[in-house]
Amino acid sequence: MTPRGTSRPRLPSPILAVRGIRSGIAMGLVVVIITLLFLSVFTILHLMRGTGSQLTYADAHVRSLVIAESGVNLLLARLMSQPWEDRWFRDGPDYHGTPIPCEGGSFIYAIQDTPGATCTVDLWVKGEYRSTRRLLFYRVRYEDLLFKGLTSPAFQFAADLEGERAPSTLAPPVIDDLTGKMNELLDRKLQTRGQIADRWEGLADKVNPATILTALGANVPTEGIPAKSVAPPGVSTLVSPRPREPVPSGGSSNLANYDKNRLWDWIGKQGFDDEYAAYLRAAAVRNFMAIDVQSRLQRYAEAERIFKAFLKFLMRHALRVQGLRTTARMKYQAALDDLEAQAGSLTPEEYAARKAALYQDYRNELEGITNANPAP
Amino acid sequence: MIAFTVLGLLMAGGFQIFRFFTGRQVANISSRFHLQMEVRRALVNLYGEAQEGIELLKPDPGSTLPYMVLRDQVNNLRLIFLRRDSTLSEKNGFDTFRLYSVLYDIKTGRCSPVREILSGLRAMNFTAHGFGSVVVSGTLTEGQMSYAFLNQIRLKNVFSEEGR
Repeated sequence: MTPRGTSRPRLPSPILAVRGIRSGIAMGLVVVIITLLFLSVFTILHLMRGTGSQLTYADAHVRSLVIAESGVNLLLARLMSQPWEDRWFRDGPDYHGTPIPCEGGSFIYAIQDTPGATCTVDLWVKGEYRSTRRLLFYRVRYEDLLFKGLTSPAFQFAADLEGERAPSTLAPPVIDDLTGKMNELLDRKLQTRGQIADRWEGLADKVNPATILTALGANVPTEGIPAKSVAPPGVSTLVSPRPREPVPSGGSSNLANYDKNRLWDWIGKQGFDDEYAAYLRAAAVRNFMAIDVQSRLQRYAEAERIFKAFLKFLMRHALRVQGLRTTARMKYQAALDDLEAQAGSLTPEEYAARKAALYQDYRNELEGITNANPAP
Repeated sequence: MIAFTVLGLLMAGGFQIFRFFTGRQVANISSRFHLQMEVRRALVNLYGEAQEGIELLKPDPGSTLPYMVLRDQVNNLRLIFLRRDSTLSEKNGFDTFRLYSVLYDIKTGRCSPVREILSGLRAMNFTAHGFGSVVVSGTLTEGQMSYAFLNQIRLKNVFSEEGR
């Protein structure tokens, strides 16, 4: 007999037991399905994150390069804005190891006089963006021309080291080692200059990459290599014939690979006045003839000397001479304007005589400027 | 049992609807990302191969070719060219190319092994604006997706032999 007020624990009825089992299975299924869904979403996100991280990595490479280039330009602007004697690293190299923030990343640099050279600078800039880094090297010749120095610095050599090849610090002895490596590359470049001209002469007229590969001895099947570009209808991509070289580049010549047309174009595009442009063209014809004569006689060194002297004249003096000629013309124009203003108080004979005198002075000045800077 | 069946059908239906709305976009975004990433990677490699050059030897200035020859910083010759990929061409139904690079060492007179830069190219062209810069244009494909790109590479050592 059970005491009053107390009750015996009730056994679950069969119906309730079945319901409990079912709800347990359903709950398990829900858990499994939720887990599967979670895993699917996680996998998709993980895959997308993987693609994104690779994209970020490629992007970081470009950014580190941009940051390093920015550093180079900042330092060059600083260098060119002062006379050579006032450069800030005159008394010793500037190894700047403290990162300078730039475009979300940073750069460090080292700048020094090129060992054994005058008016030449070795510049190292290492750009860093997140985990990527890029080291740029420039050997720059200082030119006492502010505008040209800033817009078109006289780079003698440039190199790019990325990732593992870029050291973490830019100070001795690392810089000394790197400078040695760059000097080796420069020496190699000077040694092989004649060889490349010689080799390239034999390949220049070949317009089929398969032929070039065969001529170079590359171990690669040459079928299926297109030689003509695919272009929209109506667009021609025909290759124009290569200009002839004025100097045979083979033999013992060290002459840089160049062509006449390039120099003609250059003269035509610099804004020289007609008279001076004609003078320069005549000088070019004279120099090219001299180069041809020397080349036929196989005096390549002499041909090279003539060419370089002419090129140096064009690059260094011709533009400056044109500046002087322009100033002289402006002075002449201003004097003519003054004369016009006084014309009312002059007799026609006086006016004509003074005008002729002004023109003669102007012609004399032009002649003086040109004669003071004769073309070779 | 009926409840389980109904629940299973509902879940399957829901999953199909979820796939219908999200699967295509995810696949599209993923393959676009992939193509963009491939192009960026290839352009970084191309920059690495070309930017230290002294002079562009082919194409001649003003012309366009499907290959490029340049003189690198130590006067070696570098040739970057396309080659038809037969397998991918058959699969895609149109000519598909791979981009390769080979270096001729002027000092030793030997060619380096050919290196692949990019695959799945429908077209690629190099247009020279002068002796010192080249515009690279092309279209990369993968399945039904394609990605066109355009970039300019300037040779850093182009001024190293001028004006002296």
